[in-house]
Amino acid sequence: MSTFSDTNRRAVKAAKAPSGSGRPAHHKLLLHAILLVGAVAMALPFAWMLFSSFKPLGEIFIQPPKLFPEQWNLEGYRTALSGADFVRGFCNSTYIAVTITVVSLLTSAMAAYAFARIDFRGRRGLFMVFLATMMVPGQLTIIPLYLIMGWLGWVDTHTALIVPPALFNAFGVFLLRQYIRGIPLELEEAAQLDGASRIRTFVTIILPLLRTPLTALGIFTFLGQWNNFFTPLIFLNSSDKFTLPLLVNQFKGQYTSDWPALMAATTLLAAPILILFAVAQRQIVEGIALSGSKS
Amino acid sequence: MAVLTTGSPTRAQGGSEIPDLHRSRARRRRRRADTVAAYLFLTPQLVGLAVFMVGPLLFALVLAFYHWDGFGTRSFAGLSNFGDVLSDPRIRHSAINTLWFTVLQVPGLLLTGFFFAVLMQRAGKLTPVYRLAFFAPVVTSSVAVAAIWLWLFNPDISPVNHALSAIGLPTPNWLQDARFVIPAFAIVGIWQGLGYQLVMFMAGLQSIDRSFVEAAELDGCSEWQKLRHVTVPLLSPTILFLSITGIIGSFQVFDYIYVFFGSTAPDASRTIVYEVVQIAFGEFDFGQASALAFLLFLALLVVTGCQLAAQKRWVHYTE
Amino acid sequence: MFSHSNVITGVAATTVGRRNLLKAGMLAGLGVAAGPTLAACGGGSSSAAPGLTWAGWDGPPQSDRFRQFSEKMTKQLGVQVTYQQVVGDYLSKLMSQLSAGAAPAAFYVGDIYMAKLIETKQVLDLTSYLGSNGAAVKQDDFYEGLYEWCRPADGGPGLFGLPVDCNPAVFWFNKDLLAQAGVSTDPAAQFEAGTWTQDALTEMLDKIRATKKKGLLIGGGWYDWFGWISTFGGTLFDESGKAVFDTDPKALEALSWLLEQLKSGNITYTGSLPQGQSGDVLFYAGQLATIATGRVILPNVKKLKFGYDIAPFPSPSGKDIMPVPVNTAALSVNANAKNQAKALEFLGAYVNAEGQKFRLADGGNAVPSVKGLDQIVTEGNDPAHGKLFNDVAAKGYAVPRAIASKPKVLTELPVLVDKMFKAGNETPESFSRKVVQLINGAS
Repeated sequence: MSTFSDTNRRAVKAAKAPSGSGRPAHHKLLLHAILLVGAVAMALPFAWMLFSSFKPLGEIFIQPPKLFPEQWNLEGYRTALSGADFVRGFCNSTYIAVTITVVSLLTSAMAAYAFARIDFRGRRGLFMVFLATMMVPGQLTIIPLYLIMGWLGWVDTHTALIVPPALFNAFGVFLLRQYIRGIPLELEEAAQLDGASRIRTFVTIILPLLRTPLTALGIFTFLGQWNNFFTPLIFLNSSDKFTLPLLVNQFKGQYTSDWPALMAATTLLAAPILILFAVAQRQIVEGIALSGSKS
Repeated sequence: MAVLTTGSPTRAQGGSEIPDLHRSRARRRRRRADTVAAYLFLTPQLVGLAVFMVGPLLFALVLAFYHWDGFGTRSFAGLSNFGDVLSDPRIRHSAINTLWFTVLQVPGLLLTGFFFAVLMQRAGKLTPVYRLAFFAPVVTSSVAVAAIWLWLFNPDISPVNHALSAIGLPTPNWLQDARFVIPAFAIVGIWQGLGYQLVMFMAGLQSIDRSFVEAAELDGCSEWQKLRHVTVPLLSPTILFLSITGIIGSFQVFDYIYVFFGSTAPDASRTIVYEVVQIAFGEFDFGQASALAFLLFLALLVVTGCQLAAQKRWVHYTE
Repeated sequence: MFSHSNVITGVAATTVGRRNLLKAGMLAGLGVAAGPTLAACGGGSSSAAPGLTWAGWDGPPQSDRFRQFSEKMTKQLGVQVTYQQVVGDYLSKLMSQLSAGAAPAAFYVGDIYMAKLIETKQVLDLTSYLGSNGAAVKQDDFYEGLYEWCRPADGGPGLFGLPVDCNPAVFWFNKDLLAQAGVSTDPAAQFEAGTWTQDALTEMLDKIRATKKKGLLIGGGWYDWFGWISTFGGTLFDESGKAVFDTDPKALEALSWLLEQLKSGNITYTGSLPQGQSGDVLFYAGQLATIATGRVILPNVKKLKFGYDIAPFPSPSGKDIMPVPVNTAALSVNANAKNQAKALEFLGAYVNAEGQKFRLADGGNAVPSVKGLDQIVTEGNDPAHGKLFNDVAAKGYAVPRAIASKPKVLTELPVLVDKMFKAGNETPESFSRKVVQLINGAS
C-alpha cells in the first residue's frame, strides 16, 4: 500500500493506542442531530405510507398534512384483504424468492470461484460478457423471452419466474468474485497440497468463507425478487399464482385509486422485508464487510 | 493472479526444479484441465446466460436492423434504424437528460452514502436504529414511492415546499418545471438507493483495520486527513464496485419517469430507456427501439471499460 | 504488503461469531425447508384449462364482479370462462401474448393501440356478428359517439371493438367549498335554471380564487381540454375527420377564454401527470372546488365528508348539454381465437344492456355505453343529479379518430400542450395552429 508511510506502520506496531474516545460532547450531539434528521427524512415516506394505511380517504391528503391519523381506521386493510388473497400471494412470493435465492447463491458462487481462482481459456472475455448483460434494459428482451417461455411451456407457471434468475445472476457473480479474490491464496494452497480436489476445496474452504457475503447477497437477491413486478406481470395469468407486487398493484386504478387500500397493500408488501432486515442487519453489514475492501 | 491447480506444486516456486520443456507441456496440460474444471463450475450460469440472456439479446440485435411493428412481417432496414435514432433531436435531448441524471445521482449517492456511513460508525448503540431508518426506502415498493413523492413534489400540497417557503426559500414546481424534473428524479433515486450504499460502505468501513486509523491519529492527522489518506484509499474497491453498478443503474433509469408521468412524459423528463419503451410499445417500432437500446448498451460498455481500465490509478487492492 | 494478516484477522473476526453462524444456518435452513412447503401452497388451479379466457385491466372491486360474470357465462356458454387480470403494463403483456399466439380470446383494448391491432389483423371485424340474427347486441344500442375509434385508421369498413362502458366528463363540485366562496346557486341549480353559461362559470371561479382554494384544473390530454372548446359550440373536427379548431371562430373564442382563465389563475394546469394522480387527490383533500371527470371518482367521493354533486359543462344557452369527451375502452375478439363463435357470444353478452347492468349496478364506477340503463347512474340518488351521466354520454364523443388512428399523436399531444401551457405565451391562434398541425400533419 503506497498510501502508508513507514512511520505509520511503525506506529502501528509501536502502540495499540486506545481510540480517540475523548471527543467533546457537543461533537457527539451534532453527530446524532445530523443522523436523526437524516433518519427522519429517510423514514418519513415509509412512516407516511404506514400511517396513511390507517386513515380514511379524506384524511390522507389533508392540508396542512398530518402524519398520524385522527381516528385509527382499519378500512384500508379490510378492503385490501378482501380484494386479494394476500395469504396465497405471500406464499407465492416467499416460495419464488426463497427458491431463487438459494439456487442462485450456489450457482453464482460456483461461477465466481471459477472466475476468481481458475486461469482458463476465455476467462476475461466471458467475464466481460457477464458484466455486459447487466447493461441490457429488460424491457427490450421481454418479447423474445416470452417466446422462449412459450416454447418451454412455462407461461403461467412459477418456473418461468424462478429458473432464469436462479441460473443467471451477473451481479451476484461479480460481487462474489470480488470477494473471493480477497481471500488469501494460502488457505487454498494448504488444502491443495493435501491433494484436495477443486470441488472439495470449493466446498470445504471457499464456501464456508463465503458464508457472510452469501448472506448479504442472499438478502439483496431476495429483496430484488420480492419486489419484482415486471416479469411476474408478463408471465403469470392466473390470479392464484400472483405474487405480492401484482396484488398490490391491482389497487392502483387506471384513473383513480382507493388510497387507503393501496397504502395498506403496500405496507403489507414492505413490512416483512423491513422486519427481516431489522433482525438480520448485522449479518448483512458484516456479510459485505470483507467483499467491500478487497477485490 | 496466481494459477492454482489441484495437487501440483503451486506458482513459480517449482520453476527452477523442472526443465523448461517439461514445464511448458505440464503447464499446457494443467491449463487444459483448468479450463475443463472452470467450465464445470460455470455450467449452471452459462446455461442461464445462453438460454435466457444471449438468445433474447441476439433476437433484439437482429431486430435493430429490421423494421418490425411487433406483429407483421419484418423487412430489412440496414442501418436506417441507427441513423434515425442518432439524428432524432428528442433522443439527443433524452440522452443528455440521462447523463444529467447520472451525473447527479451517482456522485450524490456515493457522497451521501459515505458521509452517513462514517457518521453512523460513531453512533454507538443507536446505529441499528439509524440503519433501519435509512434502509426503509429500499423496501418501500415503487407504487408507494411514487404515491409519496407525487405528493411531496406537488407544489400545492407538498410539505417540503411548505417548509421551504416557511424559511423563505423558493418553492419549485418539481415535476413540472423543466429545470427541476431531472434533479427531482435524482433526489428520489438517492433517497431510495442510499440504504443500500450505506450498508455497503459501513461494511467496508468495518473491515478497515483499526490500527491504520490509530496510526494516523498518532501521527497527528486531522479527521479530514484521516478520511482522505486512510479511509478513502482503503474503501476504493467498494467505491469502484458501487460506481460501476451505480452508473449502469442510472443509465437505465426508467421507472420513476414511468410512474410519475405515464406514457406522456414531457421532453425535459425523458431518458433513453424511457424512449426505448415508448418507441417499442407506444409507436410499435421495435427495430428502432432495439437500435437505441444497443447504442445505450455500447455506451455503457465503453464507460464501464474505461472505469475498469482506470482503476489501476486509484483503486488500492489489498492483494 | 499488509494484506494477508489483515484479511486473516478479518476472516477470523467473522468466524468467531458463533451466534452469527447460527443465524446464518437458520436462515439457510429456513430457505431450504421453506421451498417445498411453500410450493405446496402455491400450485392452485392447473393452467391449460381449455375454455375461454378474456383479459382486462380492472382490479378489485370490479374484478370480483368480472369473476362472477365469468361464472355466469360459463353456465351460459358451456365452456370454462376465465377472467385474466392484467395489473399494469397492459400493452406490454398483450403484445407479448399476441406475438406468441397466446393472447386471450377476447380482450380490452385502449385508444392508443386499437388502430394498430386492426391494421395488423389481430382483432376480428364484428360487423357480420352485429348484423346476425342471434346477436345479443346491435350497433344501434350504443351511444353514437362512442365507437367510431374502433374503425380502421383509413376509414375503411368494419367495426373491431365495442365500448364496454364509459366515463363522460361531467362537472363535479364540492358544495361546501362553493358555499364558503359565496356561490349561492350551485352549477346543477344554475343548469336547471338555464343560467349555466361561460360567464356563470367565470364568475364562480373568480369567487373561488378569492378564497385561495383551487377552482378548476385541466391537463394536457384530449380528454382534459377538448371539452372546453366543444361545450361552448366550437367545432373540433370537420366531417372528414380533419382538425379545424384553428380556423373555427367559436373554437378560437372558447380557446381564448380558456387561456385567459389559465393566465388569471382561475384554472390551473395540472401538468402532465397521469390522469387521476393529481386532480382527484386535490379534490378529495378539499383543496379543489370543482373537477371535470367521469363517474370513476364516485366510489372515492362517497367516503368523503363534504357535499358534492354534478352538473354538465356550461353551455352557450345555459341550459343545454353540449358534446364533451367520454373516456371509454373497447372489448375486441382475438382474430386467432380458437372458438370465435363462443368468443363473439361472450362479447355480445358482456357489452349488451344486461351485461353492463350486471357489471355496473350496486356501486359501480362507470356509466353504461348502451342506451336505456338510467337506474344505474341514478342509484341511491348519488350524486343527486346522477341521471346527467347518461345524458352527457348520449351527446358525448370518444377519442376522435384523427387522434386514435395515430398512436404517436395521442402521446405527443399532451407533451406539446404541456410545453405551451407552461410557457403561457401562446395566442389562441398559435396554440391551435400547432396542435392542429400535429393532429393533421403526421399521417
